[in-house]
Amino acid sequence: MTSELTHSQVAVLRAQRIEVAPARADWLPAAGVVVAVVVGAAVRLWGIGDVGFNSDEAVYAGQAAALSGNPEYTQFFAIFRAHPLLIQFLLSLVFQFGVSDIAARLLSVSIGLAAIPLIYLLGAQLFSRRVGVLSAVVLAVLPYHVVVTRQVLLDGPVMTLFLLSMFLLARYMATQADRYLYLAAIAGGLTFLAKETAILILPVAGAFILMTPTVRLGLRRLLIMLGAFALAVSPYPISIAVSGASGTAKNFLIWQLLRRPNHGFTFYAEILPGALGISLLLLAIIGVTIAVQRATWQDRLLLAWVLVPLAFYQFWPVKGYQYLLPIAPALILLSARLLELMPEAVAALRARRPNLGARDDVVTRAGAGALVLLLILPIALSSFTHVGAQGAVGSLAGTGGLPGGREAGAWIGQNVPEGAAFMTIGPTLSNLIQFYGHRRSQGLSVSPNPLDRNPAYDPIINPDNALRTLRIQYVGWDVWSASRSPFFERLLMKYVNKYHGRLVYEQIENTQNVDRSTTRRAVIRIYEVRP
Amino acid sequence: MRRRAIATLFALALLGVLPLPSQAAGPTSPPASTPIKHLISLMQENHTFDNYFGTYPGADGIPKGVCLPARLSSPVTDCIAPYHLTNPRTSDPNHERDAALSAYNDGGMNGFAWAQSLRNLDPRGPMGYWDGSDLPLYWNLARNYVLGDRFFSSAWGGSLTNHIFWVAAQSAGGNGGIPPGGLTATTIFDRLEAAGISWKMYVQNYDPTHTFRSPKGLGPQAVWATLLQFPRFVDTPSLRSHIVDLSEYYKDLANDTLPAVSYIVPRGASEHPPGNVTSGQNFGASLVTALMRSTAWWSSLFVLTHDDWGGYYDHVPPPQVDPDGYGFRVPAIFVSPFARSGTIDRTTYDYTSILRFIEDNWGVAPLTARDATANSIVGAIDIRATPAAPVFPDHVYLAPGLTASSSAALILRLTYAAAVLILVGGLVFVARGRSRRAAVPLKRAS
Repeated sequence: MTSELTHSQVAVLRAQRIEVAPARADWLPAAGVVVAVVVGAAVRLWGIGDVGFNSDEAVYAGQAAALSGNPEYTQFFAIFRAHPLLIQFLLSLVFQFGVSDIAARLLSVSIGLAAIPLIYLLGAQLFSRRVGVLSAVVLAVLPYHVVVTRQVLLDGPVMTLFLLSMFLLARYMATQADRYLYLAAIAGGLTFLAKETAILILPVAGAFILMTPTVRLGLRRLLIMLGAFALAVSPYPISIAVSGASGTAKNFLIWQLLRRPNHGFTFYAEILPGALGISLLLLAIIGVTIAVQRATWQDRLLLAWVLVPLAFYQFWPVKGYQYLLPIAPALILLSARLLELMPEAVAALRARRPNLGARDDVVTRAGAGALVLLLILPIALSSFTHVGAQGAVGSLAGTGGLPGGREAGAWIGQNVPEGAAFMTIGPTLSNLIQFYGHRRSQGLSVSPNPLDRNPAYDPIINPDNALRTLRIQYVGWDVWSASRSPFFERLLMKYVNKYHGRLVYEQIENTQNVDRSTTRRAVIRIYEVRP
Repeated sequence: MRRRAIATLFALALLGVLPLPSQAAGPTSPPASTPIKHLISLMQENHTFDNYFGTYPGADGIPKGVCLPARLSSPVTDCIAPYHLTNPRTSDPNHERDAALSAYNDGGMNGFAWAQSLRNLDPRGPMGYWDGSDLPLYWNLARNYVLGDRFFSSAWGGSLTNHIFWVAAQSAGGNGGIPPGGLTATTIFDRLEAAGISWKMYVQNYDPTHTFRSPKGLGPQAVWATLLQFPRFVDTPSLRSHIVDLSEYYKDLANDTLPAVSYIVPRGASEHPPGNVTSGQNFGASLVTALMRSTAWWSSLFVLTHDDWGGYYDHVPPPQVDPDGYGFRVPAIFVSPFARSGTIDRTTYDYTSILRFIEDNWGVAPLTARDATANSIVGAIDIRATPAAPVFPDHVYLAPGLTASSSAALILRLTYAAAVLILVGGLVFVARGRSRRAAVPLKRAS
């Protein structure tokens, strides 16, 4: 026998909890989320160790290994570089048990998977459990999220923490309990600690508060909230101050502000359809349109979440594949909430076509089914394709590991004398050599002009001199850097020829081209050079 | 274990990464009494131990609280403490014998600044020092091999006398300059030549026309390439042929024809002030790296020293073994596959300790009482050890204090951990609050 609540009890519960549903259906959303997590884990863990780190992964993992006190990494990876170190700190705890690229990726996957129940909670909070479950399933197989969270990158954790912050903010809106507001501020602070670009969470929250008349914070709440945020981000300035790395941080900021654009204005328009799937993107656009029309606080929250980062990165000169990942949950929710609007859509259809043969509930179910299939199937297929296409020559940074890098590094570690130094085309292979090979390496493309280089990297001021005086004894070439920087590849090979380069190692791999065709080719070559 | 190590080294050599062990030490050398078939001695210029390694961890470096008066004769109102040099070039402090004795001040070791003041030179000059951030190649070589912190220059004063000691174990009258007819003392190279032991003196940027007879005076080449002060080495073609340009060193390494004894003389990258110490260490380390990449590595001992104090401060009073010296300590690094890696050798050495090693290793007679009684530098190596693969000198020296164990890293870990705990604690608090409310029994309509 099903017990029922009084109307007043339901009202109270609605204010305090997400929603009230018949008890017999309580297990269904939970089961849906569990399935989403399991599927998400499967697609993220599939062949996770097949390909070694890419350049950024090597840097973050190297920092974490240095932070864990491993002497093989401290000499190559400065703990204090540019980004805050929350993820490196967490990773350093894992590395207390030994440095492993797979362990590092498992942490990344775990943090990524945590976003799946979170998006469910937020979807249920904002709209309904059905929307929550659908959003969880979509996020579980979203290629964008899958690809990024399979790697040791900062953007996956940023997305999870961004999502947590938005959930807490939504809880505050639903309950008006201050603790959620302050907790949202702390979570926002930790989002910043994952990567400094997450400072965008402040304008997102600000835009939401300004756009939503029902939000009346008052000065006291605002100050406490900002104080909580400042407290949470304080490890970043404190660690910079005590380490004496303030110069590095300032240089990094100046460099970011002044560096030349790395991609064109249409960059995100080109990559988002592939990363999100066209169907999700189209549904999200419809969702945005509807949200603008409805303009509830839920709509405004999602709109601020999408539009502020999108506008920022569209005009920010530096663009990256994974930078827009934090807005993915909002796009998913905007798409998935169309499920809840299905009865209204059917009613509108019935109004225009009164002689529609089928019953309303049948049409609604068919529409909902179509929506679910449209959302999930294409992106699920796309996810599996993306997972298998990591490290394609000519591919974007941040889309996967680099085939052969780990193997070349291991060979270097076992065969090249300790203390030997390498010159490579750019920092990509250098980072891998330092992480896997434990040998110092510098990129030829790192500019001697401080305004034109990432201050985390040291340039080779005079390559000729370094080669002549035997401070550099080996040269590393890789196919990815060669495809991105043909000028420096030519320069590198000029030095190889001038200093009697002798090929001592060649890594050959089956690599995917950007058109998905496969080629067997040399991906990394190591030359010994001497005057 | 030893077999496995040797097998591994050979496997690497076959891969072409590490060189195969040398089959012979030069063309005609008799066998050595130790595994060292190649002794290479590089003599750089003008720095004391404290000037280069005064802050090296574990070494007998600059004592705390040192502060030397600019003038000894007047009441001390101010003093000059050692300070970190930020420029790889400095002016050239006076480093003649008289200045050295003023600095020594009968064992008081407090006259270094005063010695410069007496000569109207900057009294701060001697008190500067460099560290691992300035000299990473030398500091890394010291860290990976053996640093000697009681290696004294053989004589008070500057280059001329000490270079003569380097080859002849005596000053040979060099304190008063070179006699017009040149030097006649017996040198280690006479001994080696007589014994049929291969040797060479490699001179950077060698100018064959520049000897002690040069009308322009001795100049750096003739002072530092000491054999050019000896008429028989200048005039006898068979002996003169052993004095060659430094480019031959690289050829000999490549051709596996490195002689048993090699003396290397800089001329350009000597580190003599106002020369750039960075360039000097690049030069010195490049010679070591070249050796490491050759077949000769496996049976070699490279000794990197400096020829005199250069006017710089050092705090250890040199033992006085005869009227010539010892002079102040100089940096000394011993690099070898047999080195007692990572150690600091506290044996008292001077340049004649190198001669003593050569004499013991190849069975030739001592030159003077100095080298006969000197400690051999063999103490820096373990001749019974399995030869170790080379560790190239890195151009970045990471001070131990800058690693994860530093207080900065500790603060980092603590603050980030606190931030995470605050969030997790807050979430737990909120979740518990919610579950308590959810546990309140609801009045249900039946």
